[in-house]
Amino acid sequence: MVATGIALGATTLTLTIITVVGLLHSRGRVISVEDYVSARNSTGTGGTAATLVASGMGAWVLFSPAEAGAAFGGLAAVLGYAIGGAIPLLVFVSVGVRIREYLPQGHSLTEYVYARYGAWMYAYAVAIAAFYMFIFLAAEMTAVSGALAYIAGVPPWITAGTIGVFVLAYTGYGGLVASIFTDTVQTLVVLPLLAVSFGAVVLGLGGPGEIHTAVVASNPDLLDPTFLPGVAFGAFVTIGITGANVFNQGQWQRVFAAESDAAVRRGFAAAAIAGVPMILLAGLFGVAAAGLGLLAEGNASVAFFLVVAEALPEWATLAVVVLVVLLVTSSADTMFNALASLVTVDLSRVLDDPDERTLQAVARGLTAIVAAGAITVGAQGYSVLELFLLADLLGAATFVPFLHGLYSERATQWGALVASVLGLAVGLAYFPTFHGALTGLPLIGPALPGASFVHAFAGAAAVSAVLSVVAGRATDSRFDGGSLAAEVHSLDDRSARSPEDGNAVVDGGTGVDR
Amino acid sequence: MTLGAGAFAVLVWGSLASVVVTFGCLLWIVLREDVTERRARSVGRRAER
Repeated sequence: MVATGIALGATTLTLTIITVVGLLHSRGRVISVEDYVSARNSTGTGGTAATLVASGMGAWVLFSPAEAGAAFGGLAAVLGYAIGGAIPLLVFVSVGVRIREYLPQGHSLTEYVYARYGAWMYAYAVAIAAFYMFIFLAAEMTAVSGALAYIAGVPPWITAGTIGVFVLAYTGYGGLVASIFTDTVQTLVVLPLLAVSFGAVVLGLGGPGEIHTAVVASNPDLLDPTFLPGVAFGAFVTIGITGANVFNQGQWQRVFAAESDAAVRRGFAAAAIAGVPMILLAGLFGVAAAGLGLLAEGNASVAFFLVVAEALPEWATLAVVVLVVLLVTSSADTMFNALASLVTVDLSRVLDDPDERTLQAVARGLTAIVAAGAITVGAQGYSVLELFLLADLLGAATFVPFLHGLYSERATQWGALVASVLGLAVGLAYFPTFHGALTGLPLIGPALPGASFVHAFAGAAAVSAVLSVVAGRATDSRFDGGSLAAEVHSLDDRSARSPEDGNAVVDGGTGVDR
Repeated sequence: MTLGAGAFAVLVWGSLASVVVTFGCLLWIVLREDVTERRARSVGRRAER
């Protein structure tokens, strides 16, 4: 175990450097609330790819893939996880360009859903997006608090509080501009750190040959890429991650922040490819942990750290502390700003004639509230896995109807809403977490199918997708996608607001039947 | 070395090499974009003067 003071010192030093970098870069660059929440057309291909890698690759990359490799199906599960991590980013290669085409002055997914579908679908989408992003943030804070407590005995509230305050300092001041720039720096530090750590651990364990021999001797299924439980895990993880990521405001912000459509395409594609080997390597550590007999009952989630402790000397695990802190700060700053921007953008529509100063104060105040919530929840050490799975299921049941409106003029609000709710009902019927409670219900209980994650996620996505398309076919109304651009304006664009509608940024409709 | 062990070694070292290559490519692109942006700003300032 690393000394508590040394680990805290390394954490504070890392956070101080990142904070100073973020503050210096955003000085003079955040003039309006528009800069704070959108940083429009400011990021090239490299910056887009780097910020997506950093904000997507939280501390979860050191926990979840290794746990999947150790406990949910070995190599097959890890391969599925790696592919599942790439697909949502590849989805945005097409979706991102379409969003920029339809909403050239857009800021958030909520503007799209309100203008395209209307108030009911908007409320449903906001609930999913806020729930998913806060759970993501809470899981990250919980993970880093747990990791530092495991490695160095740091009390969870100190870890969560320190990280939260530093990230709040530069995100509160510099908004998305600071978040994107620090993400780029973090990626360029994290990648070599990961490569060196992974390489040292592999060599410390005797090389791939030794690891392979140990795993074959203990459980050869762990190395079988066709091992069915692992393939099933990979399938449901892919659907879940894809669905949830569509509701990640951080991704939408980066679509608008990219300097061109080409930067969106290349940046998202590059980030998708970059994530695959990182997840793969982290996952293989789980396979190694299981093969080397390092796992005890219930500790698969720290498989990565068990392998590190086995292979590296004590001082070298300090590099892992820095790695974990960097991974968490890069995703925490994204979520702080994403959650705050979600509300700020809509507030400009709800409030009566908000001035620039008010909106900036609201955006910064909301960032502080989100940070306080994340610190509080993160320090408790709750298990948020089941909530995470529920957020993923909500996303899986909704993302196809939600995106359908970008590609079809026939998609309607009620078609999308009914398809999403029925998709969710099918998913919940199979969802193992609630299965025990649901089977106890009279009439419905006996009719429910057996619990299965893969059926829950595949069923939710498939049913909602089919129903959304069928509902579109059943209607005669048509939505003019070109009208979206006229409904969503820049937050700086006072001239686009009509005096009658109370300075609405999104005026909420064109009279087209939704 | 068996076929399985060889494939496993390729997977491990290949993934590691991919992380290194990704880092190299990203660093190169980010630095190139930074240089391009600085040049554009410098040209803009000169034009203003």
